[in-house]
Amino acid sequence: MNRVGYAILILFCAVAVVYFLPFNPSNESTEARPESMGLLTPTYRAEGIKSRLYGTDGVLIHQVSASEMNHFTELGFMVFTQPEYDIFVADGTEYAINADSATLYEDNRVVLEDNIIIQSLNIDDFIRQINAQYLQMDMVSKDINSDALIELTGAEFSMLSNGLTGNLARKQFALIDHVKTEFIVNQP
Amino acid sequence: DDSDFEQPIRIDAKTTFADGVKKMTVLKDGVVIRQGSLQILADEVRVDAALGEGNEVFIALGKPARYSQTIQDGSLVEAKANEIRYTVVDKKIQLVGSAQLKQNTSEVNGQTIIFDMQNEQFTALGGSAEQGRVSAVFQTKKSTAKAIDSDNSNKVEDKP
Repeated sequence: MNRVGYAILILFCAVAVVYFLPFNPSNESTEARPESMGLLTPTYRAEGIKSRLYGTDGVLIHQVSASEMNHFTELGFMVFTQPEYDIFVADGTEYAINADSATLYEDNRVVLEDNIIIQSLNIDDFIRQINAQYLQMDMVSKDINSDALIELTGAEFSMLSNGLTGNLARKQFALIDHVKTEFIVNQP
Repeated sequence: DDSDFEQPIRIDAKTTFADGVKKMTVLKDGVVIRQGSLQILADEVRVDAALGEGNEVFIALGKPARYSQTIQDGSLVEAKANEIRYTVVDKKIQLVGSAQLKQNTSEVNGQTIIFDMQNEQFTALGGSAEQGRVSAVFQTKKSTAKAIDSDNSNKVEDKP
């Protein structure tokens, strides 16, 4: 057999070793991560991130910064730590949203948790701030809802309830299981 | 009495809806407004804040809506009407529709009664319709009741 033959034989053996080795049953149990460990391990992690989303018309829709972001591709969500969202709605209102953590799903739904503060940066808005410990938001429609304790505050009032549904863009909120509303009226 | 108006206005209700654009809050189902001794019971209350801070109007609707408050001399003033409008800026309530205002044995009825809670004065207006009469019965401490009955073009003003 000439040199070319030997070369082909050697090449064939190299390919066989590279290709078949991973399927060798004896190696399977040591290398493969337990299935659950794989899912719980983020596909990738980023720190000190800033992200902006523009509409097709080039207008800034929202921006988020976070101390850390973990992306779980197989599970289809990202988890932000200490997120700070800035939401811009059609009438020019801007909302600043802070929380201890946020989970963003592929359907544009974000679940905010712990020490949530939604603040309208429009100084003459009737509803200036929403405080909660748990709240879901649709990043596209700006619908929000929660079944936890919620406080809405304005210049002269505060409203407390065990849940809410509403929309930040339309600035309309229905308080579920209303607890109390208090007006502290400053005489003009 | 005067100290009532320095207190926060607290509202209890089953459901609440807040509209940030119209600056209007609607509270429904067993609504109770409290501010010191002032109390208003209603089926529905709308808080209109469109005129800005300090100019809120609380509109209580009921069958009827009911008001009560302890006034300066310690006696209780009570009122009822289909609609009670409490304007915070001038501390008045306007009773509209089958309105009645009572204090001790004095009573006034009419289509509309405006009660100035700070100066404890009221104005009762008859309605435009034929039966829009105003009737008022005052029980002065010494003398017997003094009845005033006027037709719809007149109005009655007095202190309860």
